[in-house]
Amino acid sequence: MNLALKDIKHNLGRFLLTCVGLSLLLCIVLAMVGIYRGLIVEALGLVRAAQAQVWVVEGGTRGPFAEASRLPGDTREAIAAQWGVAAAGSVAYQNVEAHHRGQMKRLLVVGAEIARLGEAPTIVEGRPILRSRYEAIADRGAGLVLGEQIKLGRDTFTVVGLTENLVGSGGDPVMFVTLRDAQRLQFAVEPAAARRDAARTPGATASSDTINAVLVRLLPGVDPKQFVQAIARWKHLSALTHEEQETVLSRSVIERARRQIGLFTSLLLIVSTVIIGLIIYTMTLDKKKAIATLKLIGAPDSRIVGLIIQQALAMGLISFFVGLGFIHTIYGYFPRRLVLESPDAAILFGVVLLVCLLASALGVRVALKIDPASALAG
Amino acid sequence: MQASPVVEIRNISKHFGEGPTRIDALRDVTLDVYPGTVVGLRGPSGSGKTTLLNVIGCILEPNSGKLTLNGEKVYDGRWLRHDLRRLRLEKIGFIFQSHNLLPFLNAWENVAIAHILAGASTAKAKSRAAELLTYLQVERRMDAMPSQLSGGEAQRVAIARALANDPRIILADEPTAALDSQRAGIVIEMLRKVAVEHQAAVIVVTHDQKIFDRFDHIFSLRDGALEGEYSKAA
Repeated sequence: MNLALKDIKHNLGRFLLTCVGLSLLLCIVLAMVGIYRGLIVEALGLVRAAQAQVWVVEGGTRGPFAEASRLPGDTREAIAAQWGVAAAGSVAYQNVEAHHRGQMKRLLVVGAEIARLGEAPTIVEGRPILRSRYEAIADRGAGLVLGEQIKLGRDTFTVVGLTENLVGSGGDPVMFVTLRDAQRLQFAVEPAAARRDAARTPGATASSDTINAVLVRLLPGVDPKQFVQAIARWKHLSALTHEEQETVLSRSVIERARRQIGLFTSLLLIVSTVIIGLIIYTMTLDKKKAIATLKLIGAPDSRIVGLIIQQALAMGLISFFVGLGFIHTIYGYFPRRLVLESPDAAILFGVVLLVCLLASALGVRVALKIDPASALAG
Repeated sequence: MQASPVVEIRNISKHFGEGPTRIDALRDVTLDVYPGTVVGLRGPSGSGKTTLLNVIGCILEPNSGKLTLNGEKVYDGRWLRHDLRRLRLEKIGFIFQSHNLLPFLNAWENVAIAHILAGASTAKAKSRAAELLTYLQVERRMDAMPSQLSGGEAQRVAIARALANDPRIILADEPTAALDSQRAGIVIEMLRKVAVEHQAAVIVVTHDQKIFDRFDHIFSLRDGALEGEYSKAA
């Protein structure tokens, strides 16, 4: 006869109501972890999609995501001529806000050379960019459809292809255009400003042939680290391996979000512990007479401790699984990507068990202190 | 020849506090209770009745004296057994003024729990509970929760629980306090039946004058000391 289950059945309404509240808290904890995982996947998605082994950036920087990086447009040719390089491509990145269909859209515009490293990876619908100007490949998250036109800066682009789940570290959907279009969007100044610059510095012409990075793929057998060291000898250039670029993104871009989410998750777990602890404590206080009677008729402490711990565990387990079910039901409605991974759920499951044991300590302490003689008092 | 006493108390003393705040709850109490008898412990409030019941029930450690339960020396200046809860479980049944049925168990479960705690399987304990509830004529309420039982039914279920492990000693604390004289008489007769048929010693703490004449023996306490004892036969 399981006394814990019998008592839960006796106070079913209160118990289930507590479980629902707790499951919502655990649902938020899972959402927090999912948001963090989503941040990583989104932030690293673009780096991984580039399929580069080495990123060449402006000297002394760790660009182009963590810091600004500007390179002359002909850097790619210089890099491509190096020993060990199989392929190289220039890229330019820029966040753009565009008014479209009466809405403000934030996009991460990626400029890449046609048929070179950095252009759009897997296209789920449509075709790659084939014309040198005014064509774009957009992520589905931008809400654009094939054939739709969107104005970015002074130019209008036609969507010819679509990607899926490709966003920048800020969560903005990615839009691929040609490098030339991206350079014009990022570096070309307005005509009036160009005229003013020309007047201030006679003879000077503003060049928009600037890029943010050169992506490099190496020949088989070439060590990316050695290549990075070789590039570092060029004082105006820096290079990072793919792994270093991921680390930079993880540490520099996501670190603060990770700490923020980690802190929030910890607070939620503390709140959950306090709630479980208080509920188990009040449930134990409600059972004081019953516990005293059990002790008096000869129940061992282990049986009474078991009653309390089992109730705490039941509360935690029910809440965890309800919370897990709930987050799986609603995760598609979150504005940013939520990545729910089984290992995270398993870790939270372990944490919940630990929290339940911790929370039941107060109830156990009260129960062990109950004097069996108090059963005899009126 | 008279049987050996089930409860033997020799010079039991118990005090609370020290110095000017010391209260002598029991002073050199000596008494015997024999199997098959229903014994009353009476006295005014603070006379030491409940303290004595707690000592016999191995809930409260006396300061001196000797206590023997069912032939086993339990206390002789110190507890002689470490597993006092096991001792209570096997040898002592408790009946409370307010029944103290566990609110989350139904009638048969309340009876069965004592048997389960002693090591019986749930099936065996249920069978034992059914047997006892039938014996106490409350078998029709086996599945009722305590909140659904009348006072008399709850008291019978409580008595059934006290009998679950066939104890030789039954301690009852004011079991008739909330009952009228007719129902109080029924409860005492029920305890007498239990005492006789199970050869148990039933010790009842009571203030209830209307049932004094129903006890085989009455021990009267005042200020922690045994003031007098009265037998039905005397």
